Amino acid sequence: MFEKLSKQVWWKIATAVLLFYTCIYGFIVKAPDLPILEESIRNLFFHVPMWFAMMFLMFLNLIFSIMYLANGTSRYDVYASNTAVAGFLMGCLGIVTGMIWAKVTWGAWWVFAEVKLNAAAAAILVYCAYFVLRSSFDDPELKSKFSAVYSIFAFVMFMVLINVIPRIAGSSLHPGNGGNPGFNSYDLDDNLRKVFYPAILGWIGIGFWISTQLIRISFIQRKLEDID
Amino acid sequence: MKKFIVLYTMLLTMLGNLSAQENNVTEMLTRENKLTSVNVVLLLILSGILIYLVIQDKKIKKLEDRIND
Repeated sequence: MFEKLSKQVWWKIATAVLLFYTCIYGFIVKAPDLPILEESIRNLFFHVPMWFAMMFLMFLNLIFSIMYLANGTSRYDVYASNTAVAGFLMGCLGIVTGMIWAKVTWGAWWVFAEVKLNAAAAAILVYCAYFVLRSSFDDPELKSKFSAVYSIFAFVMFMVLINVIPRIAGSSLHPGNGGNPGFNSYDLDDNLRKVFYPAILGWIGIGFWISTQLIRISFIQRKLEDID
Repeated sequence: MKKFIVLYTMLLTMLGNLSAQENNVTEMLTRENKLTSVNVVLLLILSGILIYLVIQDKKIKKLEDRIND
């Protein structure tokens, strides 16, 4: 099913349409007049959806890792490792867009006292460890098994670091964390919603598209090396 | 395209000079121009990424067909 989907065109066209809509209408739509945030609120259509895309891809990584552990089919390991690469890329883009937003609104590229920033950096490092772990094995079967087990731990850690710790922390600059009200409750108006939700689908789509290409390239390499 | 960029830069410089006079209308225009320039850059990046992905898709398809034959 995954291979069939990766060769279909309709969802790739939908992704392109959604992203062009985000990039064009996202700059035309009237933004709420918020102090400090001002026009930078439009980064909401890029920064937050990129993290959603990372969560989606890392969730796929978790599912494929569990499927590998259940079936022992190496195909699932290829799926898992490549979705993690695409997810990691989206996470890095999320960090970069977040840093630009932080510079504009908080006056610094990185605020070391901010819980969510440090937790996001730690989450990225958790997945760095996943790639280091994969590259440290010579035996492909051991590599697949260990990384599949680790990816279950990594996903749990990722969710705790991104979604739990910032919410229970005493203070945070991020909306919806450390006792702050979220965007939802006070300033994510209907105009922004019209772009925000399609943007989430668009960025998830592009992340998934990249992962399907990586998977197809991996299968070509495996065929050339006579692994399959 | 090159002409457009030159014209665009000239316009931004002109508006930048005028805003020194604290003209509210000009301030609004420069703010909107900043948005437009960010928008244009993002659209160019997005187009580049999408074109790259489409080309990669075609290359991968060719390789898959060659291997399966």
